Amino acid sequence: MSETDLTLEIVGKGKALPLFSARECTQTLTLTPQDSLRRTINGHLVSIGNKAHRKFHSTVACKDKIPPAFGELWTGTLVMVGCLQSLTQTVPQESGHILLERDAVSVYLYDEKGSFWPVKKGENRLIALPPNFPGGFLTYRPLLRMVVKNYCLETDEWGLSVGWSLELEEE
Amino acid sequence: MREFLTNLMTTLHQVCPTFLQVKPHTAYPYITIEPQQMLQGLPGGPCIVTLAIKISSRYAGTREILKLAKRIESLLHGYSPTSIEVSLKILKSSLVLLADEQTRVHTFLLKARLKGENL
Repeated sequence: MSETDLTLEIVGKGKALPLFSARECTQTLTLTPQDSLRRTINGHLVSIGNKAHRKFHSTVACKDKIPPAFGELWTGTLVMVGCLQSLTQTVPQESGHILLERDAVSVYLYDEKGSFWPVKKGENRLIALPPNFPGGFLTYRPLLRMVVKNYCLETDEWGLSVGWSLELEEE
Repeated sequence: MREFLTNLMTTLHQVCPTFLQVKPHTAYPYITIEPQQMLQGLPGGPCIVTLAIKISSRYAGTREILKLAKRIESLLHGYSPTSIEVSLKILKSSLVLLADEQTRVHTFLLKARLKGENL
């Protein structure tokens, strides 16, 4: 089956998306606010945030027929999310390698004309680029370890549909 | 896309004769598969197809067409071909009696997601 590219796994339990639960999903990825912007004495806006605190906040939502396996999901539960939402990084010409910001479920590389190039996924998020790559972009679906903040389930009995949304923040 | 339509046609043929294009004077009941929209957002990405599956019947009353529709719905729920990666979602269904007052048409409107290659 090819219902969705989204993967959702409750750490230590298993997959959370049964058949007919995740068709036509949507996902948002936003930056977790750090309240880190400050004005210098010269009036420039700078971030004083900790690099290790750069995290994503995400909401996944769907309207389908069967509720996802949220029975054992509570605030604080750890989940692994193979995101629907892609991230794209700029790849300079002749860069050789590129380091992804996050682990990736799938990676694809393309130049500015839109032609796809083969990539080799190395260790530690390091991606080896083809020798003659003229520069362009690398798009990947991140695999994020996230913490459940909240979720919502709703059933439309006579509309024969179940809606759900899941609010997450990166661990 | 062609492989998907052919596979779906073969699957529905278990219920009654199924066509992509009906020849004149085809005996009732029969099913037609009518693709309405096909869009691949990115090269190599998944392809989203909207299609209508129409059952046409000239049986006096709704008994035959409702029986066929029930079997088709059941087949669509379990549709999981081995040769292609595809997922279906039934969006809605309708039953109408045409202006000739003899032909009933039961329509399933579906979305299909055909898995892409690259992404």
